[in-house]
Amino acid sequence: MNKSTLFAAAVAAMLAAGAAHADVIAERKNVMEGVGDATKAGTQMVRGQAPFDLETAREVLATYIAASEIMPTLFPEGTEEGGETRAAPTIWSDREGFVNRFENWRADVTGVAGSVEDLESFTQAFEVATQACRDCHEEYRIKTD
Amino acid sequence: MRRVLVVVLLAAALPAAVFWLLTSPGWTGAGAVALPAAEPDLANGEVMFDAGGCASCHTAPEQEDRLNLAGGLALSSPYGTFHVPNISPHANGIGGWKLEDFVRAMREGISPEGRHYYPSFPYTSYRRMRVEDLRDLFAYIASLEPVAGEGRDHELAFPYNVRRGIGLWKLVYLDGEALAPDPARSESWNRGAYLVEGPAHCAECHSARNFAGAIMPEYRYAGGPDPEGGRGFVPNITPHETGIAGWAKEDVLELLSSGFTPEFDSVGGTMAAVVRNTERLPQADREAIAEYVVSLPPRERAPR
Repeated sequence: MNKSTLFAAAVAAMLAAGAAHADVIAERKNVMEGVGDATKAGTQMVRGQAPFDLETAREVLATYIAASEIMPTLFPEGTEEGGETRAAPTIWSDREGFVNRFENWRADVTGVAGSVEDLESFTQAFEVATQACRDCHEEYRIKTD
Repeated sequence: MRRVLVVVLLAAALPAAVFWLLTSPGWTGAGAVALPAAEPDLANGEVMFDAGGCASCHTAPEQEDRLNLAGGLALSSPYGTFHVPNISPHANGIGGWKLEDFVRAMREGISPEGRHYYPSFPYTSYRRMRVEDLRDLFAYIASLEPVAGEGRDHELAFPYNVRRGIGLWKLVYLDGEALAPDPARSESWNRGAYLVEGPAHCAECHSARNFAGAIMPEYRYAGGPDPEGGRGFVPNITPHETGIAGWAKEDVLELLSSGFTPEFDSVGGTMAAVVRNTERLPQADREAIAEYVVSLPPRERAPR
């Protein structure tokens, strides 16, 4: 598995995000797509659909931690609409709750990331790390096709 | 002069009388059904509870127990706000109900007091449930914790606040057709059809509705504006290029099990709550639902 291409988009988006808010909606989408790619890689290893690779496993969790840091900065006022964003109005009406989700997620992932040494420990860590997805999307994303 | 007055009064009274007759809860629905004598199967009742998504609307908000059915959720709609009632086995809920009351509510949308329910309670789908499954579901709900909590009246705009008007709506839109099995299809496909069209009531959100709030057949399962308002748009779940064309049965199965799409996006909005129900279903039932969904006739996505 080629990790550098797998996560390149996510890392590039995170670096770019700090520099400019010009296309912040596209940036936050890129970050989440990177999270999706990481989740796909992690799921395939956990299910035995791809060989376990320790470095990839650690990168999956590192991608989550990086996303949890950059994501709360990618929803400035004025980006509530446009660019086919699926961001829910609750992100702006409940900013504190939204930011807390990412802080809790980061704490969860950081708490298990250090213990990853093999497939078994990664499987446990991955389960903890991916628990946040659904609850956060339920509150802070609108439904759309 | 007196004759004229009588004619005027009659002219005014006749339409009112016709409205009264047509909207009478006794006039609509499928009539009495034979109730099964056999003992209820609580395990099957739980499957029906999860397939039916009862918890998604009726669980009390702001607390964690999905089996606390005190209601209280405010459901916004183009017609106003519906306040979800208590369905726990408490006097404030359905504690005093008999099985025939429950069957009538689920199949005809009529309360034990003989009032029409608004179709925000999806009896338009639940009406296709087998009476044995309704018996088991009723017994399962009765086995849960009774919780106090009186509901609030719905806050709807005129004319939607005229509850008798639902009688007319039912005459026009509540089809009296039972769901006939398709002998040309597999047993699991037919199980999926039953679950999707009946208890799981997928069409209620995944279809566009007309001015009267009824599902338009040409957009059944083809998505539509979020009935709860906002910018949201419920996706087309038919295998059309504007929907889920290219999805395998396994992809739908994955979504119903873990909430992940083939792109490993985790479903959000109210579908997150749906997955909290479907992840609890027996694997064979999830597979049946997936088999049926990917076999739906392809339809172009409803306009935005």
